[in-house]
Amino acid sequence: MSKPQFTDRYEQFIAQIERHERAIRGVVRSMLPSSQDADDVMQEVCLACWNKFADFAPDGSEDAFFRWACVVARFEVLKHRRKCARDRLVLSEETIQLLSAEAEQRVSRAELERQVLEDCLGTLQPSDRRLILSIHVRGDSVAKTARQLGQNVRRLYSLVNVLRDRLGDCVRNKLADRGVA
Amino acid sequence: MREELRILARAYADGEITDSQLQRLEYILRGEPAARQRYLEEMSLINSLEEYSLSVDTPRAERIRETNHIWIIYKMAAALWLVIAAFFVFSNTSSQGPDFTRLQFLVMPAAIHFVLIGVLGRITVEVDHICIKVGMGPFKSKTRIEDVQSIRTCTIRPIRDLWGWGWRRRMDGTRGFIGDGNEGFEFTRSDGKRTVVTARDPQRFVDFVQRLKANETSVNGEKKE
Repeated sequence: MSKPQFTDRYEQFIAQIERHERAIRGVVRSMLPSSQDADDVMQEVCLACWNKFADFAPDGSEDAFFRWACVVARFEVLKHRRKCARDRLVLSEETIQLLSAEAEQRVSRAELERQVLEDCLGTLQPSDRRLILSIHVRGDSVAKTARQLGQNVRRLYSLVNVLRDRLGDCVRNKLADRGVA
Repeated sequence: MREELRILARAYADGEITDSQLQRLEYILRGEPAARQRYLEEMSLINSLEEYSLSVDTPRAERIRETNHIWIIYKMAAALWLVIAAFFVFSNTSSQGPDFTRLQFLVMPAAIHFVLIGVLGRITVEVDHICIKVGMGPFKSKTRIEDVQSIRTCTIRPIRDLWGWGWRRRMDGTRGFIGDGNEGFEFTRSDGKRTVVTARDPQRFVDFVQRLKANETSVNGEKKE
């Protein structure tokens, strides 16, 4: 491949990855037990997609790259699972296969959920909003956060779950208002 | 079933699921397509929260705490008790010389005085995602982060600025929690009231509160690119 061709191909790849990275990560995260695992797998997915990008044949549809990348992602998730299943509790290969197919299908709904979540966060008290967001800073568990705040783990867990319930209900209601089933 | 699935999905997403819970989760997910949809909905919420917290540069949940003893009060108390002790020993000197046995009457009141200073003579300052807590001994004052209008480090001259150490209040309404040292921070509330606090590492408190405030601004619309 000549240098201009390579650059052109590379730019195409970057454009596709940038466009679909969030959706691919959503699919990957739904199968793994932590955001750290999802970040590790996403690195591998990007690398594998680039290595195999020459095999990618767009069929003209808008989400062709996403569907192709999801196949690569599923393979990388299973590879990661084999590595970490010895020391961590991860869903089985069969369940991952089942979930990944359905996660790919609901990607447009997941994007809508993400959009309305921003409005729903605005309905929380500022201190609750800061808490729920800081709990979800990647790499921090609820137990670790409880230690850092000097709080009881169970108490913090139940508070976080109340806030998650409130946000989940708000997202569902807002989507129902928009006519999304 | 719905509630159970929610609990299991969250435990999995938080990386805190137990072996038996995972088996139960697998059983539910394999059996019901509707359960898989609910599971994915839950995971989508958590993934969105993780993404969003990153996009608005959310500070990690933490609590910064510092305790400063007001050593000058201990020193003044020690000096006071030395003077009292000297007075006791030498005020009633007989021909046999100073009477050191009289010191035993001072032990109890001095001990009580020092215990009281130990309890009251320290300034504690604590900041978390909810509020700034400042206190002297058991007396604490809380200011919610959203009520903090501005915060900055400052140099404090206890005598000149606030007429001494400990809990202070100036005529203009400025409150002070003054311990040892000249370093500290001051914050202004949205009602215009100022509070001055001494701290060994004031920049740490100021940076943390400013990050919380900046995050608040991002969440309220001016989202970081």
